[in-house]
Amino acid sequence: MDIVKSSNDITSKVENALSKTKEVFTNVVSHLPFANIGKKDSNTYNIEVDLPGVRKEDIELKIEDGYLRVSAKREFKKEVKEEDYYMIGSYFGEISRVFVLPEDIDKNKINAKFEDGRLYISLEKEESKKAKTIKIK
Amino acid sequence: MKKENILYGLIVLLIGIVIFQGYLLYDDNKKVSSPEKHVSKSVIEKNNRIKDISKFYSSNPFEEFQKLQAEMEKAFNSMNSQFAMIPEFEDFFKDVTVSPSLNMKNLEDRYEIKVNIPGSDRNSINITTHNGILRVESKTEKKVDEKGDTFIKKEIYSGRFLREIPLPEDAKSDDIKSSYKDGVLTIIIPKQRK
Repeated sequence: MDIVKSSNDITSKVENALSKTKEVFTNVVSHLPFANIGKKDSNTYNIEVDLPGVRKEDIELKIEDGYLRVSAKREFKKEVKEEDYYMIGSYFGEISRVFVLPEDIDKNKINAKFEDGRLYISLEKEESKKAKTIKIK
Repeated sequence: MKKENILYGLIVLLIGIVIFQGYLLYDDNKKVSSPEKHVSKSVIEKNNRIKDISKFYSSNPFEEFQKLQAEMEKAFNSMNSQFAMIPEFEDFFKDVTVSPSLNMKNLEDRYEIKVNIPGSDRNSINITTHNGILRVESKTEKKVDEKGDTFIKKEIYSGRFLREIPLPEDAKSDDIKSSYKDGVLTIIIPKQRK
């Protein structure tokens, strides 16, 4: 019994580790901006997107058909030529990422703030769909 | 229990690294042999990779290899920063430091370095030079997690950033100016007048 249990344990752990590893590789290879998605409590979602080197004016945040799209542009400044660069580590061009939103999000209550190269988005559920605690008499 | 975890974590990591290296080599090989197909693939990929590809075709094969090596180092760094955020692997990656990406410009009278350290605590940013090597380190701000916070996805790295950059000979390392805005640390080093 013990052997069966611990071998099941091991297989599930290895599977879990493999799926997490696959996620990491997908993230790295896809060149998408990294994001944290979390739930603050049962009624609020938080999304943070890392957009270093981008100015607030160059970010576009759009919600359409249940998808939230974050896109930004980083341009080469015109007076600098490409030959001037010694090393280019961070990419220029267009960055874009799409998040699928859960169905009960209130579209009018989305807050977005851009601070220190990171975009903070908070989303709230519609009033009628919020979780409620029920009092027992 | 701990020993098991370490063993299986190591196995997974080794397999992963081998597969990943193979994929990277295969991917770059594809791009070298058929450039036209990849240029039209997608806007994002085009804009992000085309600038690197044009620099990839240098006549010096040694330079090409160096560039490939730099790309792989960058990918490994990215990988490290991701693994450090996964709770199951946290113990392995506890003391890892991530090398932030940077752009370095060679202008007439100065060198300009822009380092990507998003979310860093301003007070923890440390810039030092020693023997012609510029060293940049910082720690990301710890946001207080309130009760009821659960993460669905956690990809953004929080931890230490560290990068050492060898400076060219004509850089005046005692006269460095820096500023931190929008997650980017800009370092300006004047050149010595000849």
